[in-house]
Amino acid sequence: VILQMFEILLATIAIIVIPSIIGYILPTENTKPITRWLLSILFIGTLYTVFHGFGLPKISLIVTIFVLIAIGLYRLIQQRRSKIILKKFSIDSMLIIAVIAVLGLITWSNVLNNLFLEWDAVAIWLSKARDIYNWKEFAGITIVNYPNLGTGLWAYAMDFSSFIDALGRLIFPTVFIALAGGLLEQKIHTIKELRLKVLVSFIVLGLFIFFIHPGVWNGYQDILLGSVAAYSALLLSNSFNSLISLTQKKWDIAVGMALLGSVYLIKNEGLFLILIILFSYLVALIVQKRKRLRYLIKGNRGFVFRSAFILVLPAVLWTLILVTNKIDPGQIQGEAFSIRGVLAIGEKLDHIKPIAKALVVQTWLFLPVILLAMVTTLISFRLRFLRSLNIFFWLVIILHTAFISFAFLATNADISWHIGTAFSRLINQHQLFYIMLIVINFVAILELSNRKEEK
Amino acid sequence: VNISLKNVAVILISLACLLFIIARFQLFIDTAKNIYGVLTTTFEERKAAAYKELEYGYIKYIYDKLPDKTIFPTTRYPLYLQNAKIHFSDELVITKDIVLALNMDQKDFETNVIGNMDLVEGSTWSLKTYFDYDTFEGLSLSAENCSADIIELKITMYSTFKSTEPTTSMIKSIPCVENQPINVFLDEPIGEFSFGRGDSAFKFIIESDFDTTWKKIEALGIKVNVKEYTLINKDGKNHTYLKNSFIDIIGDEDDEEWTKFLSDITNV
Repeated sequence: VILQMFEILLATIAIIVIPSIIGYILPTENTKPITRWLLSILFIGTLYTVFHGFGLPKISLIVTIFVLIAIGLYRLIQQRRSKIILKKFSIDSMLIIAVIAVLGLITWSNVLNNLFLEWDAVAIWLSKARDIYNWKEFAGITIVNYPNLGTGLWAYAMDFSSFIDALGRLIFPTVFIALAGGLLEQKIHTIKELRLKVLVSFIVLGLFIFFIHPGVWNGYQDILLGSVAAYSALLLSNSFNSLISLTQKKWDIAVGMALLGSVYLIKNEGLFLILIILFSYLVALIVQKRKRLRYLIKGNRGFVFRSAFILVLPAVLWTLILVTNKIDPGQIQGEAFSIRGVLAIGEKLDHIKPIAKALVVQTWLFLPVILLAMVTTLISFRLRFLRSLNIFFWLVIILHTAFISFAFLATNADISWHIGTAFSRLINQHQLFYIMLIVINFVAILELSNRKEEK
Repeated sequence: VNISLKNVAVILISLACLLFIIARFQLFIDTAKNIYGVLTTTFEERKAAAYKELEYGYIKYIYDKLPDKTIFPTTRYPLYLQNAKIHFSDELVITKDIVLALNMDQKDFETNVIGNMDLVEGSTWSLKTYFDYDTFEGLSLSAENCSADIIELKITMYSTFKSTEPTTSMIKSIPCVENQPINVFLDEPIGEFSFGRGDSAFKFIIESDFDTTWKKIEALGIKVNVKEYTLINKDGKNHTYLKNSFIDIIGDEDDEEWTKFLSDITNV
């Protein structure tokens, strides 16, 4: 038992401490700690994917990570000298840490105590993680055309602790918790009164506790995908906020694009969520600026090009890895989906009834949160920057729901089986957007009321 | 947005979140249990508890003692094959020299009825086994009416209804006694008989030289055939069998590590 405490400590260092140190490479004045952590951990996962995919020796990866740790430590020491960190430690940080601690205790204790994994998690994701841990030749790993970021991270956490799958699996709830922390990190400083800060922290805690389901810790990748996608949308939505400086907005867009791009390295179907988020964001941007897209791009060509490059880089790297290893990059799913299946959708209209039933069930289960999101949207919709944000998030929810329904309409697999095994997991991918809507709208209502009171 | 609207929002959302937390109160109780579990048990103990159905703890006990870590014993369960190997490593090579019969009773190693046959038409019968059986040994036939004391029986078996090549065929003379089961055994029992079959049926053509109608026909077989094996370890309903030829090789080669393995785990 004492040995396992030491192993858990090592895993904590791998999952929390190392990415936090590496995060200091990023400019701290623009990037908040949780965002830095998330970017760093995803970067580590990308490094695992790339080094393994291109057949580079594992030692070169380990050396690269240690070099990154060294640079991060150097930057950290530099900043400690200028006492930047101490200045930033405040009541806000304490509230964020408190929320993270409660969610961490709930999810980590579950991962560490309940070691049962569902079949796909064992046969696909853990198997892939083990292959990467053992640095097995890329072409020979389990379901080679499924991307490796999540499983690379699983392998990373096991590499830096010990070969116990639960220690690697801690990564997934941690990214989910990072979204809760990130949401507070982005919004709590705008609230002046302490009691309201506490209230918002309590609300974030309550909403995330309500969301918690076995998918948070059971080894499936959907929670990682949903959390990263939501975090990217959270950063992108900062561009609608007039109180944020242009430099900060641009930085948030760049980081948001990096996070969004990495979604493709988590699961193949992440591509559709990326396209949906991107499309919804552009629509909301056009609504807010009241300009056509080409006028928005005009004058920002360099920035748009760089952001687009960051967004597509992970997909390009993954395609290159597949091509280098002579794997067909066009084969993105198993037998369940095919072009022929999509074209034959007219013959599958009997799928509509079970899909509608599944949608009703999922809506019913999450109804209180959906209703709260609707109410807060209605209250705040007359505010211009919140209008764009609401359009953005609601479009993501609606389009993603439509996409999932369409995917099940086109499936070649038995519809009852397919809905039973995958529907709720896929719907969960966008449910975090409801929580973000509630929190952001609520904080804006509080902030605005305070301003009125001050006047 | 006016102040009263703000207050409404505060009250509404706070109440809702409070209700969310109360609704998920079980989560906090589970958390306390989980923390207690982590503080008082090891990873391996918890994994064995999580995969009790797979008898992970027993498999791990045997696997840890194997001198060769590149192999994995054949694991057999009461109903169907479950992939226990995946919890250790995909790379391992499954060996038939060591068989772990998990959660099984003595009857699972003996000849038993493994399925009832259904009449399809004329002399065609179907047999669904559903679960895994090593050996098909023969049939138990109960005649409804006998037109002779001794009848000649021709049994032809196909692995499916689509198969054109019979798996086995035999002709036997058997005594015919009404309403009394007569067992007919194949000269050569069929090994690796039924694995992962689900409800896919075997086809049987059962013909006799006299007009005999059958009241009931059952298939006889063995779930886990350990006739060429020796039981070396038993823990409750979990058994470890080693192939006799493998034990001979260990003895002949005087392999120190395997001899130690044998002495470490032998308890019967």
